[in-house]
Amino acid sequence: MRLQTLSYRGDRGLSQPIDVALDSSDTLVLAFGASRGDLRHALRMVREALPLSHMVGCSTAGEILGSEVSDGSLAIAIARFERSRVRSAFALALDASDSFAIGQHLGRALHAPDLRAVFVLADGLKVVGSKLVRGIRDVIGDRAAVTGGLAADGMLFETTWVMHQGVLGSGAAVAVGLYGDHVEVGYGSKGGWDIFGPERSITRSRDNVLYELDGKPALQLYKTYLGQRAAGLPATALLFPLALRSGHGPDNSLVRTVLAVNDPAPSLTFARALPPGARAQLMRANLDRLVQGASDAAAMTQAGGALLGGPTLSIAVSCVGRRMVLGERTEEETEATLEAMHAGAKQVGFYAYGEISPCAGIASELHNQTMTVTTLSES
Amino acid sequence: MDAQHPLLRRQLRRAGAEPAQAPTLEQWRSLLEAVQRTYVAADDDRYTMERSLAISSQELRAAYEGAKLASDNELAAERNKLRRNLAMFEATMQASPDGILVVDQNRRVIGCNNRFGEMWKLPADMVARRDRDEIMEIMLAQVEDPEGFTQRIQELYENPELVTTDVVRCVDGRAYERRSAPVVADGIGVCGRVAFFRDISNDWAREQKLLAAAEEAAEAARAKSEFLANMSHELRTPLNAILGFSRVLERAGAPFLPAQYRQYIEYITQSGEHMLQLVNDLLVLRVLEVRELPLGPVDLDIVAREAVDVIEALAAQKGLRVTVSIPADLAPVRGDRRAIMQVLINLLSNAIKFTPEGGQIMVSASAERSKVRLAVSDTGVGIARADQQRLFTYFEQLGAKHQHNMQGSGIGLALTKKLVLKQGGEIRVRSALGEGSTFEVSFEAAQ
Repeated sequence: MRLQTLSYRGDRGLSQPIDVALDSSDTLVLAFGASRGDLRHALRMVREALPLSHMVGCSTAGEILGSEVSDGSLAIAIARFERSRVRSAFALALDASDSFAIGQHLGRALHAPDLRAVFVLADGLKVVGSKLVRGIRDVIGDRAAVTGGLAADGMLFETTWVMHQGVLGSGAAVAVGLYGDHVEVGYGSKGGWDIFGPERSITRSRDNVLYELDGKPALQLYKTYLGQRAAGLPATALLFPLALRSGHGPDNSLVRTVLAVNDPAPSLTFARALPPGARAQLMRANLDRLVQGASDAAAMTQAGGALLGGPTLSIAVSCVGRRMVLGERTEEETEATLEAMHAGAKQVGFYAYGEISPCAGIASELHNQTMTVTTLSES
Repeated sequence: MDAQHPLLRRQLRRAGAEPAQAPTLEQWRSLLEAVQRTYVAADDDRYTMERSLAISSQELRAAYEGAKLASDNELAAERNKLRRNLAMFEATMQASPDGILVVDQNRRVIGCNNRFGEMWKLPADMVARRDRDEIMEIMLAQVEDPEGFTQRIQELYENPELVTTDVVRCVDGRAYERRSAPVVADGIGVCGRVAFFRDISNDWAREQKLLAAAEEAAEAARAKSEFLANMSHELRTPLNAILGFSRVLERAGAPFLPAQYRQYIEYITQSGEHMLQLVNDLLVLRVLEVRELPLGPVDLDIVAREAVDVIEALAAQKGLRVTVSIPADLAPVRGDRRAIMQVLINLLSNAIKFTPEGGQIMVSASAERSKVRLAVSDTGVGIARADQQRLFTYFEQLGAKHQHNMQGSGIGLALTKKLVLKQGGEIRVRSALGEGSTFEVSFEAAQ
């Protein structure tokens, strides 16, 4: 495998010239870009330079290239496989209820006996990630690892895009399949958050505003638990998100980050909706443990069998909630993941609205608030 | 330092410190800041952990207390409900005029009321002890048929769903109606049996008395009928002598006797004939009581005409017109020809007797499904509704009290009814005072 990573910024252009020699029908091009701002020109330029390649990407809440995290840029990775095949597929969902169906569609498009890995990117607002993964699995079974993430829109949660062959689309999903015995795939995923206190029911909420847990004011409960640390609200609230469970099973567990604290109401405003009746549990984070979690996720990829020393593409998909909490320390986790790799590894990735990785080594599931690392190499 | 903490290693690297070189002041400051931040975060973390443990523990304890209280309250409420139900059950049992015994599926006595104790003469302490064997022993000593009694109990245990009613008789004449039914609980099925004992000793005695009285009455009726039959036989001999000699006198002695004596002889003959008719009727009745009639197909049209022939002269004497209107194609009936003839003659004689001169008498018949209806109508005096019921009983000649010129034995209609019934038929009357009478006799059509 031959590998190049580079970036593009509107003001500076490409960080280095595209190595057109990498273009082939078995070349994977990943491009993660800002959700806002015009990247069409840059994407067309990359496409024109690499017309044979399979080019996929999506919008982000922060682009990762190496250990750096940027906003408003395009992070690009070009991986030419020498002894393996690459294929890609695209599917458009009319609404969220199509998620399972488009997963099946992608699965059928990529399905082959020697399929080893699937990397999937999907609209982070219009596609239900867990159903999409189940749709793919429904067709391809458990043999190939499914990893990836859900496109993001910064901290705005308004519109996201995915890209296939240089063309952008909303409400869509795109997937890449890697084939043959020489593909080496590693993956790892880790949170670094802890739940605490008893599980409670959401008894009063409207959209993304939470009023009551178990019939008691939710803000008061927060303050009771935070004690003297409540003085730091709302900033400290980022460290105390809420774990949501609307059913049974790990894929129904979601994390909701506190954006604002409304004292007179009293209520808490979250990044996304909290349906009444769902179960909720308090969570807490320690920044050092988050960073350590990222490092652990990267270390787990090595268990997947990536060759030491050879060219390796490391794709880091981290959660937007982590970026909110880590703030200016965000790059500590991208550094940590890169450090856990050998020197030949190049890292690209993005901050996402959801992470996809095989859970417990069996089925691919949607994670929340994790750092998910996928490594691709060839033997 | 092989076991360097990964965090410290990262912090050193971020500070730019190289393991081999002494750090610069800047690097030191950066490292110290990072370490300081970690300590503070660790303290915060520990604070949150400890606090959340304490608060969670309080919350869980409160939740536990709440749940326990709720469950205790619920338990207490259930217990009270149970107590109330038991009291209701006990009061219902005790208020019952019947003796009640409740046993479980293992035949253990669950409860019985005081009335049960009274009925079976159980000592109070035995009722309280509820010892099945003890109670059974006392009961068995009182019942007329102990073997049948135990056998019935065994049968009920073998068929737990059975509901039975029978009568248990005691040696001293007491009789108890026993009603036994299974106790069935939702979701459990049959879990016992309840037996009710109702004292019917008085009813029993009364019933026996009634039966005895009925038997006595039937015996008396038989004796009366026997007596009448014997009497009839005995009466016929002197009657024949009276009638024979009066007729001889009428024929041979009349020319030599004054007119007044001739009249006396005529009275003797008429009264004798009436009496003979009475005696004959009684004999027929007696015969009908002990003998069946031979039944076969009978053509009503023919019988009716023969009967009319017999009474025609009598009717002509009173200037009555007798008509017969019977369809030619009428189905034959099942009966005895002579008996039907007798019925018709009786009915026609009555009609002639009670219809004033110049009146009409009609014999008609019609088929109705499997029956044939024969009717004798007249334009006579009619019968009051209140009297119609008594019409067909012995010695009830309704007009007799008022109209002394009417002759009749008083058993004619009773005999007629008996004859009809003996042939599987029915008889009824439709009449009103002054509007004539219609006697309807229905017979089964012959197959």
